[in-house]
Amino acid sequence: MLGKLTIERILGLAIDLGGDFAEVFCEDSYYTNVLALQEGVETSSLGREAGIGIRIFNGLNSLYGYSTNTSSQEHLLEMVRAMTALLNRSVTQRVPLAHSVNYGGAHCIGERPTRVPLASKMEKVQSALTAAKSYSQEIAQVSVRYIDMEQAVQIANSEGLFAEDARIKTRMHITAFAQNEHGMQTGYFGPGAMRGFEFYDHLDIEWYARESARIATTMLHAGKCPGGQMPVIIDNGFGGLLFHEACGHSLEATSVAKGTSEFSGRLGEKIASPLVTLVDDGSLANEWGSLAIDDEGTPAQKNVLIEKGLLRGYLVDKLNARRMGVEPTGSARRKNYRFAPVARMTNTYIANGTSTKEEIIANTERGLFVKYINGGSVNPTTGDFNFSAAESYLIENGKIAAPVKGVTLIGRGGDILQQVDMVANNLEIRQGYCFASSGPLYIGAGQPTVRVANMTVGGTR
Amino acid sequence: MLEQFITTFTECAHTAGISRLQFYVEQISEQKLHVYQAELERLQLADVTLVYVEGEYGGKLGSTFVENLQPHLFTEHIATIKQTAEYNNRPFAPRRSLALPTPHVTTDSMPISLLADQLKEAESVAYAVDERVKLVRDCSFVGKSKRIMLIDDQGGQIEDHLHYYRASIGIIAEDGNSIQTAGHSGFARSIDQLDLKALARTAANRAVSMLGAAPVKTGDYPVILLNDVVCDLLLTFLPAFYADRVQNSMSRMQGRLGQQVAATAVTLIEDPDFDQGIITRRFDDEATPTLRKQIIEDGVLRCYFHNRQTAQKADTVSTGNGFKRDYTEKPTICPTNLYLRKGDFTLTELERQMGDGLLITECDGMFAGADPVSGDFSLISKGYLISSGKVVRPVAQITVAGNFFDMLRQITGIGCDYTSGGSESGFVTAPSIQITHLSVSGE
Repeated sequence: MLGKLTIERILGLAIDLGGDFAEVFCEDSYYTNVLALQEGVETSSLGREAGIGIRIFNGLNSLYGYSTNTSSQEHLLEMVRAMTALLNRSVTQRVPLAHSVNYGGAHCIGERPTRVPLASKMEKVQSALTAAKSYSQEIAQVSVRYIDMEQAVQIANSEGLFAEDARIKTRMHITAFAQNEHGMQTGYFGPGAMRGFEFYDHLDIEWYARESARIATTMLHAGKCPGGQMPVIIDNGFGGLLFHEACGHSLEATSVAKGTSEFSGRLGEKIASPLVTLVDDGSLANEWGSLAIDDEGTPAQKNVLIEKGLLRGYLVDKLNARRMGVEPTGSARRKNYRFAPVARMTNTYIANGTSTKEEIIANTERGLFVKYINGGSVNPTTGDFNFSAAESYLIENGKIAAPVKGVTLIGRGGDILQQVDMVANNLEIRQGYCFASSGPLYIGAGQPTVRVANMTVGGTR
Repeated sequence: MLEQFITTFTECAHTAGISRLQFYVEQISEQKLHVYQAELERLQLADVTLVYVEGEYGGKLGSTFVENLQPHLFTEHIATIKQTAEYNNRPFAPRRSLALPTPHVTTDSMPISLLADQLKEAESVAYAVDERVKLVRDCSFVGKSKRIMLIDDQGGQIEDHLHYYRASIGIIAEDGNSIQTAGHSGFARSIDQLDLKALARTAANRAVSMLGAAPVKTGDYPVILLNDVVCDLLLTFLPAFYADRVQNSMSRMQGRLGQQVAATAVTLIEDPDFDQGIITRRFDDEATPTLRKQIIEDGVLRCYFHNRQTAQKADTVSTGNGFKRDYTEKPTICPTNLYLRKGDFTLTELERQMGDGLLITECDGMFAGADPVSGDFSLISKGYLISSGKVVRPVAQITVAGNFFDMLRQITGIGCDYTSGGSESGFVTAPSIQITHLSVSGE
């Protein structure tokens, strides 16, 4: 980490050479990443990432430089000179740094991952491997990836902000491979939280392992899915990724600020069914996608994006806040110092409705029930999105029928939001990753069971 | 600073009982420029040194990765190497020493202001293509130099270099009723090989020609996959040819060596010296020399991609594909430059040969909607409806589904129109191809 004096010099030079805002992001992070199969550890990757990212604004233009060489002040100042070579001198005043504020205690953390020996972590891995493997004779292989991290950050800027934080995350990815003479299918579950090793104290890791094995064996016996348009029910939990893709990305400032999102300039308009309330909340206690402060030093907050169908807000970072003339929303994120931050989702979910899951299924004559989903992507300009189901079933006569595989769901964000016609009362938030311009990030996605009246189902038959 | 780190860390590690240290070092410098509405909107400069350290402890291989080279963290690095060695169930096998002269590297460069001017010109070319070009949302350039060094505590050191450029143009087109996007990017090993204006024209034409796109009826269609789509599919399904996947029963190519796995027109070649490739490596991250080889020759599977570990298991030799996907991890398997050998047909000729069907120009959601193990894919797609060999109208909001390995046998025509895509973990060049049929879900 850098001394206050060094940071002051960097920020001072950046402003002197033409920046009207300057920021230093310094990071020192420890990562554990072990991939184990039943035969033992396949790969282990433990170590420390450390570096600095310097960002300078000049109006709506921005400069970013990063380096691992944090020990040479002269090197960092030289980088600032190179970055600003094309700028004209400005007259911006810099506010001296305040006393550092440490946000590291904002989420209650028990055992820090760096203090726990690898042996204890490997015991958890072993229980997951054993539980998944013993689920069925059709489980040919199980892989478990153990992940934890401690990211210590220092964020300072020319407005006087000086903040420190420690982000601690723990997660386990369990993948089961089921195989018979017809082929191979995978099942996956990956519980995680903003917690240390105490995460496992109240977690039945073997249940998650068996669930991944159950998904794999179910899909092994699933038939091909018919393609076409039909009602689609997406179960509670990570199914919320549907809305992360269908409209979440299109509400991020990167898409909205330049008018290139299908939802640009539509605040206050009805963009969804009145059953839809969409929230992004980075302040949820100990959630996988949570933060104390974002990567610009703004405290995380609850942002209501859609309220009963009306567009209420966007996710905004400092630079786009200038373009949009609004305040940042505590959503600026980056994978590490090698990325400039942009507004990204944290924990995004659809709020509870009043139906029950049973009612929704019973009220659906024919359609598709998606229990778990894998992932998806979106084009925020056209709203075209897609996501692929991990486990799904046909619905016949208001009942869940045969499992089907190879399901991809597509649509346009704006259309799908209007087509939500039933929302249950069983909200759950699950854990995932999101890939965008500031690198892969940990996110939460959640929802109650939701029905979309009509969607294009990409089948294989 | 790096030299000092290696010397002092080696001493400390030796004292702590870790022997035979091996360092893998990446030194990267990068420039990125984005132009927006005739201004240099974003500029990014970077220089990083990333170190991966391995050593023998208790007969096993331990490792860690380091970016902060300061000595106060040495104790932690040493503890990590010991802990990882303890859980590694494979015996330590030292990297073989390889004597290679340090390459003479000439890297071209251009001042930032001149690069920005070139991007500004490309941006204005895109706007000039058609009045329905509403916004050039991406007009960017990346120049990257990467020096890879393998160093050991016996005085061995070899080094390799990558140096390449990438330019991308992204367009939004709008005509009042419809909005569409398209992009195009190009890679080159020297700046003057990148034709920014041509990229801009292609991207703009693609976006405008997609305006008014609508689904087609659900059903089976004869299909031409545009070269970009072929590259994306190859990159997604390539792991089926990696020996680790094959040995773990995670590939449909298992047990197929010497057999016909594709149409006879298909020849798939890996070549580190391929003139359109960017991964110009002389040796892999395990110090094995890279080499040109045919993976599929006239439809027959000739070999898998091996690293040292998979080669040992299969009683063969490494094919020089022991590359790291990320410097923080041990080498797995990655190709260098791979290409699907081009045929004789222009895209127009392929369309005429197909008669009626779909030309698919874009598939998305590959990471979730395609399964490299089974080969099944179901992907949101865009393209054009072709009737009697002619483009009738643009198509969107459909999925195209099939099985990659079945599709390899159903190739009925190969184009002569190369394009490239990928990353430093595998770079692919391919022409457009014609397939008997794929399942399409739409209306």
